[in-house]
Amino acid sequence: MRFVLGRLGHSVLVLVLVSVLTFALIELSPGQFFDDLKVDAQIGSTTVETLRQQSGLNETPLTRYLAWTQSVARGDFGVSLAHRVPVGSLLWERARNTLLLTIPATLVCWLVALPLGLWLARHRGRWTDRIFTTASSTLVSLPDILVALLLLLVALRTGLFPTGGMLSPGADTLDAMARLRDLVNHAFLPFCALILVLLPPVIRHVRASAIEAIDAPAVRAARGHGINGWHLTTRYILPLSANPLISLAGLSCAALVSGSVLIEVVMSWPGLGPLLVESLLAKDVHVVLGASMLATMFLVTGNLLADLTLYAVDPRVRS
Amino acid sequence: MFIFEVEGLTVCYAAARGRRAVDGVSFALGAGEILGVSGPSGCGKSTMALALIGLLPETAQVSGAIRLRGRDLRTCSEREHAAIRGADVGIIFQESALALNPLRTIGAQIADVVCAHARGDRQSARDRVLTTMTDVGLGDDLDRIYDSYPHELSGGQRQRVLIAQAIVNRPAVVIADEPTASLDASVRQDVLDRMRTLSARQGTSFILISHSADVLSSTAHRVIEMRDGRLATAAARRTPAPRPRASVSFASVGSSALAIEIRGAEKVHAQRRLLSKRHFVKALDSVDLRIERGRTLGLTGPSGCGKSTLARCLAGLDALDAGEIRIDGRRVATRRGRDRQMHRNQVQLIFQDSAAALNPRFTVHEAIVEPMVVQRASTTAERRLRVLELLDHVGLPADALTMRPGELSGGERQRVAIARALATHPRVLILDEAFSGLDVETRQRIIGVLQGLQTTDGLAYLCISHDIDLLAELASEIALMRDGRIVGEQAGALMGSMRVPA
Repeated sequence: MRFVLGRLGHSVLVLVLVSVLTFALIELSPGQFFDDLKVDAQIGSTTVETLRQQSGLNETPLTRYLAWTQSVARGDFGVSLAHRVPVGSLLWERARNTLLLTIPATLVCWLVALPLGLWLARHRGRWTDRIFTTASSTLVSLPDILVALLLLLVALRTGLFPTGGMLSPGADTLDAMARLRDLVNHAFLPFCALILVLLPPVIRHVRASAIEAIDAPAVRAARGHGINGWHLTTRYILPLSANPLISLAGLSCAALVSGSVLIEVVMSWPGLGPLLVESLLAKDVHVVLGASMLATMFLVTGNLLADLTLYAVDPRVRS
Repeated sequence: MFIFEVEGLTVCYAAARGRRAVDGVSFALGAGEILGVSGPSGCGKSTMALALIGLLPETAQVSGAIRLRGRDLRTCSEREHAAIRGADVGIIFQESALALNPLRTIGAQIADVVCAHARGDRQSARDRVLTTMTDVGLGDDLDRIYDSYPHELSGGQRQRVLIAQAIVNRPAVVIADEPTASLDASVRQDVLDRMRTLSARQGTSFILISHSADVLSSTAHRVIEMRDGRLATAAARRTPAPRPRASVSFASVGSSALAIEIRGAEKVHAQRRLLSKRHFVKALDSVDLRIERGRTLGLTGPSGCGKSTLARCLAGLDALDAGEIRIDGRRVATRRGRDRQMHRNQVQLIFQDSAAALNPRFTVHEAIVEPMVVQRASTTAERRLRVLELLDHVGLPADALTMRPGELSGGERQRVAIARALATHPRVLILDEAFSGLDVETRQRIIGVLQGLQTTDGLAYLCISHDIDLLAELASEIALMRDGRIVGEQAGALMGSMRVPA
């Protein structure tokens, strides 16, 4: 219990530090939200000045940061200057779309990677292992954006899948089943891109940990006593290789909101990605702050979950 | 009629450029026979043991024939081999800290061996496991040990778990690789007696690998000796060579001030479970000890009595719950930061599992130089010289510098650990079963080195061992520990005849 409380306190501290850092970084970079209007000849400088005054941008950075923390306490996370709505509701809508994509992708990724990685480790050095290892290292070294663009190209040439958006125009008029089909149809391409990006590193980690476990004296001793097959894999190899994988799974929680930014932008999926890029370019401070807080929250929660899991499965951590 | 025959067994590794780890070894084993295998560390004993049950890595090239009741095991498929291992041929490994799965309870791991070969529920397996655990001397507190994890047991208890795993299915042949290295004298004799009983009553055959002439001569019917992978001699019942009783004078250097003083030390271990209540074990119970400069104190006692806990507290790795430790008259128990670093430099610990104590990724040079790098008190060139000097002290050649622990034998690894411990010029050295993996020659050589350091630098030693004869030879006084208490202290010479109650 003290362990959990300690970790929670630690997490809050991380969140505060990240918010300060993000805020400072945005402040330090040149330009402000209304600067674009200044070059517009039709808008007078007094108008821009009034707008700045209304939005509170003339205050000192410290006052604005404190005002933002108050809005966090209220739960609305400030107001988006571009959208003129509270950041909280804006982020929630976009985050929902992102999670719709990333949660299934992450689940599928682990469900495939665990058995495949173990299997590759047990058949280390055979031709199947070599093919998979080469393929995965190629995919690991390809940038996300290239994978997404290649898939888009395929979709364009074949015309099998829509190349952007989340629903077809006029989807509101369709009945529930048809809408779902439309959604799946649109999600398929970004989903594939995400899997191609997430899967290879996880497979490589599973394979490496499993190989280390297979070579461990404890597994050799178990084999020396005739323990083999399924029992050896599930009771000896898997537990012995689990610790680094649990930590990795914790980290992949963080990727749930931040891992798909590029793919969403390229495939115009209306998630957090496009919103974040747009807000960064426009210096929409509160949206950027809110998004980084959300990503940090996922990271911290993921790590906390991983630590708790480790505590539960490893008797050495408990003592 | 021989039950187990080995003919021209040869093992070589491609990486070793054709050097043969095992070279044309042949022997035959009758039912109920105990065959001893002796030889210095690195002679290929352990490689042979792995080859016999087909557990060498795929990079090893094995040739020759291994026949069990006339059936050649070398032609078996992996599946057929797995059915034989643990059922017809049992094996006892030597590094008990590594040979058990740290995430699984002791009882489950022994039951796994039963269930791997028999159809039946885990309940009937449990009964059989409990019987076997009693057989190997894990009798008291049986249920607690059954549900314990390996790191909650002492080295001696873990070693007995390995023996239980090997014999639980009553195999025809048991390969025992240094099975008694970490057991206390009385239990060792007990285990060896049990082997003899098993061989006489049930016709179980043993291949008993040991560097200890005492163990082999008291137990084995026949001893073969290996050197550089080959069989040297086959002698029937060798008479043990008389143990050289070095009459070492422990001349105290300078004043006979106390190097270590421990007063009223207490330490309680909690065994935590995920859901059930905690369990408390009193590992140290008002312990008082004194060692003068330039002298050696022997510490002995049954497995799990708190010897290793005392060593960890003394070395500053664990904190005492109560009591105090003084080194050279200065109190250390509550020191922090810089002081604690000083404390750890002054007291160095040498463990019984040398494979677990060295980082497998470090070369020998990196391992020995690391404490000096941490100290930041010398130049690279000075360190290099010191490493060579230390290697020479422990009798390792300079070309061992670039090797990693995996390429060294158990004895060689232990010598690296000793060299590393000496690197910080410690005042006190704790030897926690440090000699149990070494053959007699190496052991005598290292004892010589340690005694030399004692007379020149006035080092104090706390030597923890189950081997009373060894302690009598090394130590001026011997303390006996039981259930976390010091229950007796005597001059070394008087202890020769005394036996530790189990």
